[in-house]
Amino acid sequence: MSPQSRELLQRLHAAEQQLNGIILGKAPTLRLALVCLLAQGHLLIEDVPGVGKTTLAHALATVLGLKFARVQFTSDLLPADLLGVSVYERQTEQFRFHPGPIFTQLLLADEINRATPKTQSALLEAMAEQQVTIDGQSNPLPKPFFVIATQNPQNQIGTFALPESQLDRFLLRLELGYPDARAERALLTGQSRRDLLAGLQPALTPAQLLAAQRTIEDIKLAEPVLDYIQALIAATREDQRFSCGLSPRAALGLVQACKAAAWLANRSMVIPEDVQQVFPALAGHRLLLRQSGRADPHCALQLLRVVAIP
Amino acid sequence: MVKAHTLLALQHQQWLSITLAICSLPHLVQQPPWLAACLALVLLVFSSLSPDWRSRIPRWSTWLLAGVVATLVWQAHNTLVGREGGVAVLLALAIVKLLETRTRRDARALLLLMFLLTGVAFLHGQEPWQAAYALLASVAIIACAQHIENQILPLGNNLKASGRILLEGIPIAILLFVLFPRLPSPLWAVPDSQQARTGLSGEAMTPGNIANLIQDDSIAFRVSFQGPAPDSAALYWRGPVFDDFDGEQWKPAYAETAPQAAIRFTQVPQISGEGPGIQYTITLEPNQQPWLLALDMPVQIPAGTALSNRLQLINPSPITERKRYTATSLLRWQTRHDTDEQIMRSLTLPVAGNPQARALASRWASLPPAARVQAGLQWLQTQGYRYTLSPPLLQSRDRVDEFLFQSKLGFCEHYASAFAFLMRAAQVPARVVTGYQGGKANGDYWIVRQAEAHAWVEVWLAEQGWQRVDPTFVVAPSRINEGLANAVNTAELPFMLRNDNAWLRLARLRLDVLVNHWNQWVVGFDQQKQQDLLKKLGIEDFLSLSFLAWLFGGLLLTLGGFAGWLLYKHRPARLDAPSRALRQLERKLQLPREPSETVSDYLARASSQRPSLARRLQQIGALYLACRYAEQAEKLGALRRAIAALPARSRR
Amino acid sequence: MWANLKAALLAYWQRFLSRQHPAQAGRLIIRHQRLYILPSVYGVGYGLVALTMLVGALNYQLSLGFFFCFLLLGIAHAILLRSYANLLGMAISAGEAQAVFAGEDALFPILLHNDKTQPRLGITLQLGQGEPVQCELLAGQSHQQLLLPLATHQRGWLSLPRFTIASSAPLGLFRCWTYAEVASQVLVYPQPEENPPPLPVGGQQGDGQQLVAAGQDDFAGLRSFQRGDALHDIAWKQSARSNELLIRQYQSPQSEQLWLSLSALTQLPLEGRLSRLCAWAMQAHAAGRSYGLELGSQQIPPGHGHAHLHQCLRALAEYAG
Repeated sequence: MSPQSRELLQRLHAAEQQLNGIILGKAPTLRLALVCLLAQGHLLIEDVPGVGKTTLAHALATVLGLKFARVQFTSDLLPADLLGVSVYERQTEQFRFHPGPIFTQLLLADEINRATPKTQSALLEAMAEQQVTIDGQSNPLPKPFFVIATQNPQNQIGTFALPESQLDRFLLRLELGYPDARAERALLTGQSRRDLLAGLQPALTPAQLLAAQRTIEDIKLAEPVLDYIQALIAATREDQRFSCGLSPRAALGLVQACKAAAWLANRSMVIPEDVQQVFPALAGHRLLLRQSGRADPHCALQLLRVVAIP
Repeated sequence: MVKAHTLLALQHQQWLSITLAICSLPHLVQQPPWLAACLALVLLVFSSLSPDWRSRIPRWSTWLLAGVVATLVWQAHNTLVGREGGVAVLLALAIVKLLETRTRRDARALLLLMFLLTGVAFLHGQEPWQAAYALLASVAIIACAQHIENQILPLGNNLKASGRILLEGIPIAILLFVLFPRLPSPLWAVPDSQQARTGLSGEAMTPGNIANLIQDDSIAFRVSFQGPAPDSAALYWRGPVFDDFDGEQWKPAYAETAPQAAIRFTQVPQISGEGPGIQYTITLEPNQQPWLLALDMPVQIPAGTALSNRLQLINPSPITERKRYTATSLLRWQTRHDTDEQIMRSLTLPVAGNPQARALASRWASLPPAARVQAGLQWLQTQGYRYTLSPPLLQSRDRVDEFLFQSKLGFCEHYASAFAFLMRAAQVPARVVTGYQGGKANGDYWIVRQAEAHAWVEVWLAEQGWQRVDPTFVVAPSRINEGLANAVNTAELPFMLRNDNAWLRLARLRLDVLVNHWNQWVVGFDQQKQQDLLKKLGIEDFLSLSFLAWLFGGLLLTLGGFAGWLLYKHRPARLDAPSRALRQLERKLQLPREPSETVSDYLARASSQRPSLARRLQQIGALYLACRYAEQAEKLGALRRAIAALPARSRR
Repeated sequence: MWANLKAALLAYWQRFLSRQHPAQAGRLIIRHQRLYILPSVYGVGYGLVALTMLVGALNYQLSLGFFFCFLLLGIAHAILLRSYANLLGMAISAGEAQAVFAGEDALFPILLHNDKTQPRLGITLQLGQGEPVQCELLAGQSHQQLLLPLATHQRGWLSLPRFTIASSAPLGLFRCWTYAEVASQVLVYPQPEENPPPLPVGGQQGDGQQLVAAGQDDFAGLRSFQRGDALHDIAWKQSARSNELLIRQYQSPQSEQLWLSLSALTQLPLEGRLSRLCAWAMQAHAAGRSYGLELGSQQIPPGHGHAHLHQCLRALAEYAG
């Protein structure tokens, strides 16, 4: 590992430590959130209100030194509210583009499934292409650009479930869940989160984050691990319970995420443990049961128990 | 298990149709053309029916069709059993079965019928190409059967696997073929096949029928001499003998059928001779005749055959399969104790006819018998007779006269017939003998073809008994000395007897060497041959210990060999070095790793069971990960050493 | 008497199978000692064809007829070996079956592992006289999962019984089979009651206060405005008082805690009560409500989500009275 890479890793670990101080008892989840960002993927958090989704997004933005914006998705949110509009200016006698909240480095899309499919797809297109096109004019999004979307776990009235193709654009899906008893006690007795958030310091610059993203390309991926990844992907496609298996995009994402996980674990090669760490979060929201049409996160765990490690 | 009542798809039906077509072809070409055309048409129509259509066809129509086909077969063969009828019925059955093949069970039954069809195709002949075709058909059937059972297999893999299965079957087949006891005679009498075939006739000799044979370059028989082969001019292969002449045809003294057949073997003359006996083995192509050919004159004849009183070698039944036999002959011989009846019969001529010939013969009446023969030969030699394969047609009532005094162009049969007539008219007992003359050496054996059919004369002289006289020899000595090709115009000859285009002929002769081996060792592998071969292996009879040792030893060796090879081929794939080391660790800890368990989890589990090893296991884990996933091969030694150094778990 | 004999024989057969094919945890590898092979009906037919050929060859003295007959035997031998090798050395393991409700078919995921480079063909798994499931092609050095269905009748843990692994590949002339018993269990939830009464109104909370389960969202508080918030949610009055825009926040009743209690249901037999609780738990889950479960001495605190539902249903399945 090069000294530069080592330094980046130290900074990221420092960032991670700060996060763990804010969100208690959720170290594996926070690690996966970092893995997702390092692998240049977008994050989907599915949980009930009040477990700290916003706090997480806010804290991530702060420790990574990213510009942060939050958009509450509702049924009357229009694409223009998100992306921005071209306004005619009388002084210059031309249209000027007013960028929307999406022009930020870390966007928290709260309750994404409350917005209409039209708005959802506007966001997801921007996520895929890293740019916003309005009136034939392309406006590149800042770099790095992450989206953390949250959605409620149940399909309630007045929500629009994300279609499979769009779910596929989120690299990982995480559940925060309730804190365990000890963490909850610490939470109740400790400082307010808001104050803690204010005390966070950026651990690295956006440029360093981009450098870290490049660094993970050098992580070694040996044949047996590739075999394992392929076997897992194949298992999702062969399993008759699922309406469809993992896409090649998901497979590529899995490789990236594994590399990021390996790097964060201070290793120069990917091992099956990394795959097992990342896979449930990666496959959980993509594998829809044929019978109910819903995703069951347990299935991904079960596949891990079933597929042999070569 | 694959369900037997699964309905077949269109693809299956097409496979079955094609395979059935392959299996039926050898039978179709043997059927009368109209029947073959009917069956082929039915096959074609059935194969194009979709499963949907098929399911709409009522069952009774299948029976109706079967009835119609049975009637057609009856029309063609006048029987529904036996060789021709049975085969035709089987063929028709298979084709009708194709129509009502709907489920996998039907398909399996049809496939078994196809195996049977392929096997019984050998009733039509056992040539090498027929055997090759049967192998090909077998591969097709196996492939089709595989497809029916498991259609997921790609065509290429399927054909390859089918070919392999066949090849694996061959060693066992050869072993059993050599060792399975053969019976000397069939289990029950089989009706004869009424196949017409060209060749010498034993019923009559009419001038012209040997000339027809000249165009036929198919093989009459093959000969291998145990000692050195005699000069080809001495190779007179003795066949039917003819005594009675009616002015047009020569006929044998006795019909081949009862009640006269038995008389043939009474009062057989005694043969004496000098010189070494020539032993030879003939492989006779089936000629559908009850007599065999032998070098003039046989003194030791094969078992089961008999020499008639006309010195003709007789077989108890017509030769319908290729026959192989060994005999010994003398080239110079005499007969004794010839009966008066026979001599008198050899002097008989029609009451009238051919006055010119009779007049000519009467001129020699004053000479002694031997001189009369010489005079006759001299006449033929000096009066401008020519040897030709295409003599003018003789149409008058006095055909001998017409030939001797007008056309003077003739073939061996003309000369033999005319000369025997002259001799009888000159009061010398004479008869016509037919057979083959000459042959062509091909490696260590000789080929005698139909085109080498010949006719000559035997005269009876008081001191020597019957003696061979060949009038053709004085007219065209080159026919006897140098073969047919030198005696006549090349264009008149069939290809294999000509002298030009040597390389092509050579190639065909080389091929014939193979065919000859095939005939001797495969087709002609009968009880006799088997016994000879087994004797060489030290097996005296089928109940001896050595036979059982050979049979079971061979079988075990073959089966074991295949089983071993198969196990080797189907062995589990070899693991890489770090994984083998890990397996070693699992054995040492007596704790198997779950297939989906990562090494870290496994070692954690192991550590919890044996906490004293925790630190070392952690080290092993790091080494393993480095070896396997960082591909640092240099750490492999350290990994192995670390595992070897672990204390083994004591067995309780 | 006949019935007695039959029963004795069956018992002996079961004992033999248990001795020969003991239950195994983890991977079971098919060894030759436990692999049986016999010709199928089709195979017997094939033998008859060979015999016919032999009689014909003897009778017509057909040398090639003999050869063809023996070739048929040789082919059968080659197929026998292939059929045997098709199953030999295959490894089987059972995955974790997903919990089902009583009355549904439990699907045991059976993994077939092929360690050799050659593919294996047409492998069938069958549980007793149940519906067989087939794997047409198991490629070399791969594995495949089959779901073996087993009917369930009772709640609780259900073990995978012994099942048959058979194959008649490649030609169907032989049936090669073995028995396997791999350790695997499935949790069977109680059968949810059909058309259960509606969810109990409210439930006991710690202080006994009754909450009304309202159909609409309830006002819960205010928070600061963010882009994307609906205009009609802005609390204008309050905003005017403070110096920032405030948004009315609503909370749906999912946060109100619902207690499902076994002891509250008295008029039903035990299984009926469990069925009803099962149905209610699923209803509450579907409605996105938070609910707790009380089973005698066992209490599951209120919660929501898949994991919570599984936990509750599991407790219902395992409840031992």
